[in-house]
Amino acid sequence: MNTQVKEKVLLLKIIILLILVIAPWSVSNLNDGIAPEKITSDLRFYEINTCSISLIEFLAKNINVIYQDHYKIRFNSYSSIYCFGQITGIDQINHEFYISIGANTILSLFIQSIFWILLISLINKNKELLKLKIIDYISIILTSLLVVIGIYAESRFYSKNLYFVDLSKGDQYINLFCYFFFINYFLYIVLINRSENVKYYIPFTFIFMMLFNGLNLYLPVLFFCMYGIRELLKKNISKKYGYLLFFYLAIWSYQAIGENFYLKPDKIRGLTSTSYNFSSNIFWGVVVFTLVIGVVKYFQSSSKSLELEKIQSITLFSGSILVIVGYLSSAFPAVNFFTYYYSGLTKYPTLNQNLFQYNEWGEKIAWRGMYPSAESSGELFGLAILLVGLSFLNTKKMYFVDSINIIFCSVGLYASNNKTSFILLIFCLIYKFIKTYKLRRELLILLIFAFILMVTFFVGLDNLSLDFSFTSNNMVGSGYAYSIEDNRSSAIEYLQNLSENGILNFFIILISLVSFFINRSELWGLFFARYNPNFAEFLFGSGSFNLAKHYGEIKLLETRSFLLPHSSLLNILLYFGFLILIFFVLYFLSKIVQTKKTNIDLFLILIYIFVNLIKSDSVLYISTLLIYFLLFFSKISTKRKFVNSLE
Amino acid sequence: MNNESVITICGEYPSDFKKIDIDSNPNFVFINDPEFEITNVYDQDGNVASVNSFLECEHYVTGGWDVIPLQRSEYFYYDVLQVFSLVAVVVAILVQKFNKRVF
Repeated sequence: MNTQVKEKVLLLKIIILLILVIAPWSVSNLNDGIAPEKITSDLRFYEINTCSISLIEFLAKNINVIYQDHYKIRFNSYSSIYCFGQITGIDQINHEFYISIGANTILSLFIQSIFWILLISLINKNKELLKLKIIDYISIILTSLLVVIGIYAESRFYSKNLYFVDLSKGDQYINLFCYFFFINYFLYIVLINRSENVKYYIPFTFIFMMLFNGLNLYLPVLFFCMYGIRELLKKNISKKYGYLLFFYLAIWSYQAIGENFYLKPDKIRGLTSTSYNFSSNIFWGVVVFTLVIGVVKYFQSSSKSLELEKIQSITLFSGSILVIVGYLSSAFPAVNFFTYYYSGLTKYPTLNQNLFQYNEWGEKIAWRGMYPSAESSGELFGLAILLVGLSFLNTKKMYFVDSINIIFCSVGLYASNNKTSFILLIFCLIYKFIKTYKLRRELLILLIFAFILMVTFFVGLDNLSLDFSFTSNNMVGSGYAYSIEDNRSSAIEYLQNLSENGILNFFIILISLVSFFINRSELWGLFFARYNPNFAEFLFGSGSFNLAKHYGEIKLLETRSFLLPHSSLLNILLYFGFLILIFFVLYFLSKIVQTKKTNIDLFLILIYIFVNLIKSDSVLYISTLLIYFLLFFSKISTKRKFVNSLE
Repeated sequence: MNNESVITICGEYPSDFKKIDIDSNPNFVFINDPEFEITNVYDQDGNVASVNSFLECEHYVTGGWDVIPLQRSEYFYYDVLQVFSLVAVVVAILVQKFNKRVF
């Protein structure tokens, strides 16, 4: 394509994107004689005239709704296509107004997927373009079929989100299949020919999570499943992995026969099963298997290595956007609404406008901005600064734009209150600094001392002076305290009655101490209070990405909110069992050891990732999952060295 | 409204069903059938009637009453989207035959 045609295509795409942002919320019958009224506490007008006034019409009459934060614009996924983009009701609770906008799930599926696919298509194509073969079409069809099976398996969740879609009737699934076939086809054709460049834009998944409104599904998951299935069909994957999958599927589905736990997915929607039953266990097992294969193979398919210098700028830029859009979303209800929809977030952006807020005990309140998890956004900010820091120490150069973005990312890191990421960042930079420059002994000692002092400050000096019996037993004790007598989990009973002299007890004390100093005692204790496996579940897990049984089986005393395990390793233990957890930890650690000899930058990045995995739910969000996969499995190159990280 | 609509909305005709000329009897009262699942039917203006027996249901449906109109229009939209999906993919495949770099 010549430059002129390229520019025209780009312009066309931008126009379509703008139309997709404005048009769905503007469509209204202007001849019906119903004009919007100024919003007051008398809401009778809006109660009578539902589905008659479009959002844009409403905002034009009530401009204050755009910027006054006591108005909250919310989606109503379970509404008619006829009502799309229109006011379906307004409620007043205390001094806050909740404006409900019709956003039918099926129509949203089309609007959001076309919007995101168009955005992805703005990325440059590979030089060599692939022509789709029969095997590609089969992958597209099988993935569409897989999604439809998933909707069947999680029909309890979807029946509340799919308006007038009777999931007990077979013909409805044909419609759903066609929709996903359409999305999958265009998504596949766009992404398959951009593999060389897409990897650099993975940090953008923090801004565009691409979760479908009303569905438990991310757009990127669709593509990677297709790619994984394609690799399986091409027999690029050893048969032993297939046998392993069947083995695990058999165990998980057998365990789930007759069970039907349900989980309201909340902010982890998209990467968690909402139901624990026979078919959902099979569905999520296949999805995660093909997803992992797809992600790994896709990132490896690129002939060029991943340039850290290139991805560093995009990661920093994504971090800055995350802070800026997060703040705007917290201040303007209209921005909050559109960000949630077009970014495909799992949760509405925060309404807290104070990035530097402290509670009454002087503790920093974590600010999450537009991202659903403050901790995971903190991981991005820390990673972005780490990448640019490593690059700077290698090249002694920094772009002006990057230095501006560092300021935003630093603010974001502070606001997110992710102390672990901050400590890791400082540790990695000091380590790199020491390795790069030959320091005098005194300076080296001074640096190490300053680092220890900093860690002590973050842990809290008063915490270090607490009684050992308290700190070492805090995790199990918290879990036990949350349990209800006669309904305790097998894990908490076991840990509570553990022999005091055994090696296992020593190991548990160690975990308990770590959890105490990183403020995870309560959360990990709660995990064990809920963790109730039989022997097979302990070894092989209870089901891929399934928390429904975990949260439904054992009743606990009321917790302050929906508290996740806050450890990806505990999630892996729950999902895939002890054997895979051990394999994962050993594999990760062996890779860290290997890279220490070949590439110090990658070595530090892997340490950063591993420690974050220990204490956060990174595997439950598509953004962190993809960026960690990318850094772990790609061929990485820096200005100084090149290493194939898989070797 | 034909028999097919009656079957779709009210269910299968009972084996002992006898058609009664209700219109000629202004004092006719429908008797509730406890075994019949109560169904709502709607007219063109959106008025709703809950029918409690097959006879009552059959009477309303043959008189032009229908299931919820919104549901019908919703199904129509879903079918349109289905056709759009398939046509778009076919067109894209054909376009790609001529220009490989289009997407």
